Amino acid sequence: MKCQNAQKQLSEWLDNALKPAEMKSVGQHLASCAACAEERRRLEALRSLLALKRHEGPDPIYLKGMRAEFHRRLNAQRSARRAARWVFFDTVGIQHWWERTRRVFRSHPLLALRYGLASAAVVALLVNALIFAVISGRTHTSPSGADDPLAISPTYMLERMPSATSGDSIPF
Amino acid sequence: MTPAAKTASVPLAGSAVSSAPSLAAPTDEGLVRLARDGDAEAYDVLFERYKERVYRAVYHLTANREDANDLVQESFIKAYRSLRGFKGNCSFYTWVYRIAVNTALNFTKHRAHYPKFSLDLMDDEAQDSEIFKRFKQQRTAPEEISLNELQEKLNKALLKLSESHRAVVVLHDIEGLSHDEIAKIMKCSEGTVRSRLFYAHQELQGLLSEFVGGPTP
Repeated sequence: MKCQNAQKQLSEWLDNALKPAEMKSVGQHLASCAACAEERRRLEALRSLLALKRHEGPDPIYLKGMRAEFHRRLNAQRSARRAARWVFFDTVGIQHWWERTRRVFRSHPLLALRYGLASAAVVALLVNALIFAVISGRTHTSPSGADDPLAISPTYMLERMPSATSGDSIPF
Repeated sequence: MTPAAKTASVPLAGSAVSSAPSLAAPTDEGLVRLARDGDAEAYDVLFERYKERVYRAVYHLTANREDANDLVQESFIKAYRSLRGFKGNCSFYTWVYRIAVNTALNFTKHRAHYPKFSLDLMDDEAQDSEIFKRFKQQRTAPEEISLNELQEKLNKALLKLSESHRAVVVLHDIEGLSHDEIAKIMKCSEGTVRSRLFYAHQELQGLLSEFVGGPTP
């Protein structure tokens, strides 16, 4: 077994999590290789050091207020949901989405810039399309065919007026 | 219904937890069933039972007391809202622990600020613990180093790791999870977990060489 392979399996060997054959071959290598045996000692020391963190814990006074805070938040979320249901609008969901988006954008400013530019481009396109639609719509509905899209020719009005001799009733 | 759940439901059925006979502590299964039926006090008992263990795990992952506190609340609220979906395939603690770890990992992935360890207390047992004694026997640093100094250096070294490397170290070496469990929680392969753990150990050994000894020549 090569030293590199043995060292990569050291952590699992210490956990006794390797297959029996692998456990045996790593064990044999460690017994015959001083460098890997030293590596094992260092890893054990590191693991002991890290295990000390299991003794870290919050101040008991600090833990006391936790349940009250939990209930406060739960109630706040409940009333927000109730209010949201009342107006048929999931404001809580939108708030969560917005919070998440803000977090992502804060940590990735380039991404935020790209999204910002893309959104601005989409808005500009929509506005342009809207303006174009309004203008072209007015031009097409203009019956006179004159340059002024708002102008309606007198002949057009006369053609559509009910004739006095036809007997058509005027609806007023 | 499991036999354990049946026995747990007898003294608790139809009553609030506080009014239940205190001869035996109510089981998690019984409390979950009561909480599912709308008994808020039953969920309070579960919260009190596991808040500290969940807090410790989240604190190690986030390295910040305030963030850990927020995430513990969020995790228990998520669990409370999803109680109906809890099928009982694992213990309540395992379930809420997974929710908390996932919430914390998701948070650390997207957090904007660089974490700064807000130190939590080392309990009195740490000084006399078997781990500290074993560590003292193994280490090569001067004897007079205090536990607090050691804690600070250890935390600083952990903060130098990338989020994914720190998460693997915390879950494996501090929380004691297996590679398989970590792979499931972090949604990656066991090989990735092994590789991350190996490189994280290498980096930590370099950063903490005064305590674990210098690298092999």
